[in-house]
Amino acid sequence: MNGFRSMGCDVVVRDGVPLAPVRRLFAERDRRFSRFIQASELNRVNAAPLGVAVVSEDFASMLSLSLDAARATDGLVTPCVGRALTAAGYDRDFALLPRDALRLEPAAVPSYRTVSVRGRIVLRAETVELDLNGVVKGTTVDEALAAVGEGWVSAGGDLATAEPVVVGLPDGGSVTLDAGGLATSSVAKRRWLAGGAEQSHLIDPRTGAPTRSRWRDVTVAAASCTSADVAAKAALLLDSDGPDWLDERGLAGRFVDRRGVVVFSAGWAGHALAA
Amino acid sequence: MTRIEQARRKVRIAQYAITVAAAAALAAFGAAARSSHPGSHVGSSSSATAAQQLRTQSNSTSSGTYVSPSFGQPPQVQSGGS
Repeated sequence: MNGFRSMGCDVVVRDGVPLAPVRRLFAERDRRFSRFIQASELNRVNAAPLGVAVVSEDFASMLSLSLDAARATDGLVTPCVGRALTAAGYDRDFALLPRDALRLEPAAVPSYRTVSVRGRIVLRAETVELDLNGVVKGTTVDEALAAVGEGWVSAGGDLATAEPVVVGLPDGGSVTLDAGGLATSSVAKRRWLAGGAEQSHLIDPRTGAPTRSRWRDVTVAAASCTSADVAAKAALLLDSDGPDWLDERGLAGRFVDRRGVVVFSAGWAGHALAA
Repeated sequence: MTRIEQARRKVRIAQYAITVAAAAALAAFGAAARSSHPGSHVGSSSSATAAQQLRTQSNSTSSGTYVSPSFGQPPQVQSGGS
């Protein structure tokens, strides 16, 4: 395998593609944006979660993108879920989580409109603990592909490609990704118990608690890994409205519910299924 | 200058310094608050590019064409969620 571990997942690039620049970029992003690296810039910013903070250009850029994702999804994929993730028990690297923690109360998720960025200045009008995971991995995949300029790059199964690649899908089957990006948002892997209730890393900002969506896996293809990842998260959170939401945006999506039943958006059915 | 006059002068200087600092802080906050108003967001040049990219791609009507059938070919990579 031409790859390595970073951001809690396997990063893989096509054989023959240089690995060093990809590894360097992922390591840099992980150091800056991880909630589980004590000295990360994210943790420094979250240590004073109200008012004005001066951040690096990379941090400002990623936060701006994250706020754009929030606007594009009516606040569903938001950077304001840091405290809610901790309240759900996700307060350390997933591998270190106890499998049944004490039950915790959900934490309200502040509106993304309380956060703004101007240059390298971040202003939070309310107390907001940031979490940029909604865009960091997808953006790093896209930028890694741009850096190597050929083949494909995958991180935990979210990928961007410069050439056709056959991708295996949750619960079997495969599809050819001709260009752009493809990402799967899932509650099947990163889940744990708190007070006997199942938790996942995907917070629904409308409740402040892990999603109770009917979908277990949502896979979306788009022009980039970032867009695919944001759309997959939003579609999963939207529950039964997910397929229509993707259709309205012309995005191809594949949904697997918690019983294993597969549903396709019109875009996926029209392009990815053999006649 | 008496000691009372000297004390009054120090107070005036301190009041002036506080007024200047408060005005500067208000100006900085006003600039930051304006950026939080919808429609007035201004990011760095790189973030503006990324933001434009996301908006364009989220609104694309042709992104369904990024996938096609695999016709039974074995997967080169697995998308399993994370």
